[in-house]
Amino acid sequence: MFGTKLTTALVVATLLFSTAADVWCQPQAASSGTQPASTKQLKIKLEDLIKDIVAIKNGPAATLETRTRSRFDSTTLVTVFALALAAGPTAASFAQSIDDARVDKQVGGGASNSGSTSLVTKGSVPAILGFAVENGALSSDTSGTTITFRGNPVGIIKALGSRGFIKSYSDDTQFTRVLRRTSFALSFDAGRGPQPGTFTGEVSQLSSYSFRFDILNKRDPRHPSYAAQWSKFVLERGQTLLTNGQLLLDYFDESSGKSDPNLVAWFKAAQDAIVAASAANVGDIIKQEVLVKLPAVKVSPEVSALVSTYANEVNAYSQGRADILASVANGTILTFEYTNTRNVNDPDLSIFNLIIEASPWSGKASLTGNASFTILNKIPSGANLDRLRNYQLSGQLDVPLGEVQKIGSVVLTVAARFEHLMDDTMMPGGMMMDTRGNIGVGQVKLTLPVKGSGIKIPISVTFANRTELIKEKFVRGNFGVTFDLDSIFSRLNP
Amino acid sequence: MKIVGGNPLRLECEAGETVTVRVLNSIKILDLVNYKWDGPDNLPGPTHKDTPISGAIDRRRTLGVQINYPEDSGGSFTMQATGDHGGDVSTHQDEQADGEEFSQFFYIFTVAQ
Repeated sequence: MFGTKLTTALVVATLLFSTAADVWCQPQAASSGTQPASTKQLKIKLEDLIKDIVAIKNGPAATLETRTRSRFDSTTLVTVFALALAAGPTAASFAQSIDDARVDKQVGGGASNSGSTSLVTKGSVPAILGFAVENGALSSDTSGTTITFRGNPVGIIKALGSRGFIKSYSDDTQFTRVLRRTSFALSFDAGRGPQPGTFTGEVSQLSSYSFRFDILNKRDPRHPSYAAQWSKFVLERGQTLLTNGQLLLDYFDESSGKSDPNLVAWFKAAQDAIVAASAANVGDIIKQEVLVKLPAVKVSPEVSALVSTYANEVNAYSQGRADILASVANGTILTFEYTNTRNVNDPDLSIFNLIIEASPWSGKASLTGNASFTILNKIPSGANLDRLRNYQLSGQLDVPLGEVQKIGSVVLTVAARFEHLMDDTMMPGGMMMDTRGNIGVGQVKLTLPVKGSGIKIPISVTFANRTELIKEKFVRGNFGVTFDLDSIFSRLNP
Repeated sequence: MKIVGGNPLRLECEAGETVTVRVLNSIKILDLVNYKWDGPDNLPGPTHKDTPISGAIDRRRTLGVQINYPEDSGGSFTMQATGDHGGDVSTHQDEQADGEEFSQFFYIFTVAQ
């Protein structure tokens, strides 16, 4: 009996935790951290520049010089030049942190290299799915002997576009806006089929498939409800930044009639040095030119003032953008999900689920609700069963209670679930008599983090009127430890 | 219109030629694009990405363009510039680097001597 109760409690806990994870894993607005946004943008744009020029150097030799000069040109690099000038001598200090090594890394391949599984992959279907994963059309994850592939039609179209299968793709047609709201998943159980333990991708191994449609997604930054905020932002922040960028361009461009001779001389020498450099050392040359030599160029007080203003405007732009994205992160999501579970011995099930996620009180809390019902795809012959197997309602409210010194952010969670079983529960040996009826489960949980360790201690009290198999009330206290492996590994390998 | 030195943002036009710049296609960019012709006027200002920008080239002129990214990755765009006297068609493409918040670039139009 204890084992049954424990299992049910674990299932409940898993359900509640999984809904919580959906909420807490939503992308958050950009964090400003301690690094000014202007420095962050300079690093990002400089890394991108180095990556592009290394790619040009490793490409065809025919137009190498032309392409190098085009890429390293004031027409596209005013932001980089202005932010390097604004940083002054401190720019050299972060040259080491510019990650030019990453350009040599292979992109892709990681998803297929999970390696920790003992499953063997065979056949053409896994190869096709693997190809889709490699090219960003699908993602995969392995749990036990189950491999799940997730994707959405827009991701597939984009992946095909990036491979040159589709010439041009724009994500703003009405059709793609609708497609963007759909996603699907296929789960294969490699323990099934004629070769258990080997993933063959055959239909017999397909254990479930699901389809999702976002009825409302206010966590999409381009949702119409944010149009006014973006419009104001682009007008006030974007246009000022562009205006000052245009003024700065003239100081670097000889044809403007207003150029600064020192900046023009630096630019020509830098461009020549980059053209002459090899792919192996061009990253260091670019960093030397932009982060060391450019900030040392003597410029007029007008230029000095302008670059300082420009850097401040980049910071203001970044803050304005982060403010809007903070609203977006608190937006409401309403999703419909259909899952077809294909069982080996029992009838297949269709589960229809409506999921709502919201952040009430200006994001001070997180609310998740589920409403679902399950039907039998087919009633077993001779069984006197209702086609409707059950319906469920569940809700969870997470309220951060604030920072506690030496502990961290404590979260209070209140959750409840109601389920109505239409018929007695089916077991492999037959029906469990008198198990139909209502099940109510409630949980109050306090999650205490161990500050800076990636470890959390959830303490909860769960109460229910009965379990799925036994009509008996229970109240149970749970105490556990959870590990955030990402957080722990990031400390081991910063 | 002629592309100078293989750079699609440096363009040489015939005197009086009207150039048109447009977002040809895009992924994950804001609907509003910042544009600015040189000079004291802040024109044309933020414009919907489906609306082309035109201007007559009778002297050296610059057109600033700023693409704004609402998400932290996955953005890209292709810009096209054409002249009403024919000649080259300029295409400038860029992909958002991870964490990049905006892309600012400038067309420099000069008049052929």
